[in-house]
Amino acid sequence: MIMKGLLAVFWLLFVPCFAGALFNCKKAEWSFGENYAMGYLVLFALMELMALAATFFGTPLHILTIVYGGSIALAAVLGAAASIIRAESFGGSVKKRFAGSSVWFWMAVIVILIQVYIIVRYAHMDEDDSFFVATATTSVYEDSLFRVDPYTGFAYTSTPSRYILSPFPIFIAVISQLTGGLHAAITAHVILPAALVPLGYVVWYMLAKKWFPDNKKSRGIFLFLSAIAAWFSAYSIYNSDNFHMVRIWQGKALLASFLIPYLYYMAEQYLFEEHNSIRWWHFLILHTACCLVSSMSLALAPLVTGIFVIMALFRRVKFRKICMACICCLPEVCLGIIYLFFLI
Amino acid sequence: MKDIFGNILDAWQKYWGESLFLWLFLLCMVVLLVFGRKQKTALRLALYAILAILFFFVPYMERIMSCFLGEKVYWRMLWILPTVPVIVYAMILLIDKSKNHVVQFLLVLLCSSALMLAGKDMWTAGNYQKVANRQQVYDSVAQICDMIRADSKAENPLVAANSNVAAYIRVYDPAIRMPYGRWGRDALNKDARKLSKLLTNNPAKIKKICKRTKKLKCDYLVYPAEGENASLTIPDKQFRLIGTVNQYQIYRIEYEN
Repeated sequence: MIMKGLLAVFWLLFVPCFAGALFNCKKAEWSFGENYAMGYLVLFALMELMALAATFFGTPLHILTIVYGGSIALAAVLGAAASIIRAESFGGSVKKRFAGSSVWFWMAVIVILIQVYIIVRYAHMDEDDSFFVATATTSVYEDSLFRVDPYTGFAYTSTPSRYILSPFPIFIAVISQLTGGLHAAITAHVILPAALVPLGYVVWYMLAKKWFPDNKKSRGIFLFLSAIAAWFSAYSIYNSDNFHMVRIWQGKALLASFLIPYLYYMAEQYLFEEHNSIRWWHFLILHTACCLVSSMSLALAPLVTGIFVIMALFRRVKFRKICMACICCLPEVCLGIIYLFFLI
Repeated sequence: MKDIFGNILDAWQKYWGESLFLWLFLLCMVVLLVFGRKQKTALRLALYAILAILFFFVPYMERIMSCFLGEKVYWRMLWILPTVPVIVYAMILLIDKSKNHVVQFLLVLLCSSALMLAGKDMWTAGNYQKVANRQQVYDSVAQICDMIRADSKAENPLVAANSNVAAYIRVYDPAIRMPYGRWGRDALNKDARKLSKLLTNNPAKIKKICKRTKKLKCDYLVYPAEGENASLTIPDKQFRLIGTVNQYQIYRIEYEN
């Protein structure tokens, strides 16, 4: 069990941090949080591409696991090499980051850690797991991708059109295999929340850094109040923060709590900040990552980008940037066409 | 058009629930527009939120979005609305008005209290419960699965259960097969669909349940002896009771060779 725990830390913490560092290495300043968030975009985008190909070609799960694990490990090694080359700025950056952090930041961290503990330690029952988590457990048991109906255990009679293009349960299945064969339900309910719940907060803090660049206290307060707001979001079972707190292992919760806020962050940076480190291919990776988690992203992700494009048109942002932002929605457009015209 | 607007308003009400969060959000939007008018990021956030709400209320967005969001879940479109960032940003604009640390501290406490009073905390809403199994399904489901696997000679026993149990069986143990999923989804055939409905009836129609279960060649039946069915047991001799877990009776069905 300890070995599986260490493997989980390796695949879900170290690999995304260093894989993200590979894509952030040109930034003048970067943080573990930014690398962690970017790393998950890379993991999700790679999984989307590989899982779709594997499903189409009827590849068994174990082959996908080997290829995917090798790919993200390679990305992490390259990212680690890039980090070591920049070791000077790494050390300086860490010291600078934590020096002068406000009390509110640390209070927020404590609140978030308590939330993570509760979410990991206690169970939340949700009937949607009978499809999403059961798809992961079925994929592991049958060593196949979308061949067997998770509801019954018998072969599918028709393609599960809504879910085959957004195979987030396959990500759960692959991670469960990479962590030494941990039960997919344990991976979903216990391991993944520990890694994914903080992701949403990382993005909110990235937004706070952008909005309050010279005021660490305001950033700390932003994170603290956001954590309080998220914990008190049980006024409705339909809002995004509620999904963040109770069902983070489901793709749609990740879309609501991590990817949509990240879209906001990146779109604002890319379109409205003159000197920023976001390139169009960061945006493309993000849109590809969105496709993995939920079929809803085929509509919601382009809509978020579209709203920013509308604002950018009025602000006379460079036409090239606006075009590139639209082009980055191509993954959703292509999958949307496939879904509407070939699978329904 | 009336239907469409009805769906849109229903989705809006579902998203906000009965809380004061909507009014807090609207108040904070005003604060952003008034106190943040000289800050580009504040104005951009407010404008984005306004555009997101406008798109939400466009009549035919509901029809278009339903293709991707699913039926009767238009409220998911409001996930693009940055509710918490708007509220918290506006609160910080007010907090930063004072340079006194004590006043700022008190303002943060006041804002936290506003969030707590407007919302509802996840714990007391009953979202979490302690279970003994690491897969984090209901303990009764875990025990039912373990009992069946210990008893079964087949590698993939076919089990019929009501929706409360059926929803979690294959989450815990994918080796167990079922003739239908939760609420009868993906039922193998007409008999499976009917069995799924029969197992939710109160009082249960025991003879019909036995007939359908045997027709489907199920290996086990998880019978919910609760409510009006609490005193009922399966009289059919082919149904051998192997154990009980809380209100559930687990029967192995023995077929004549």
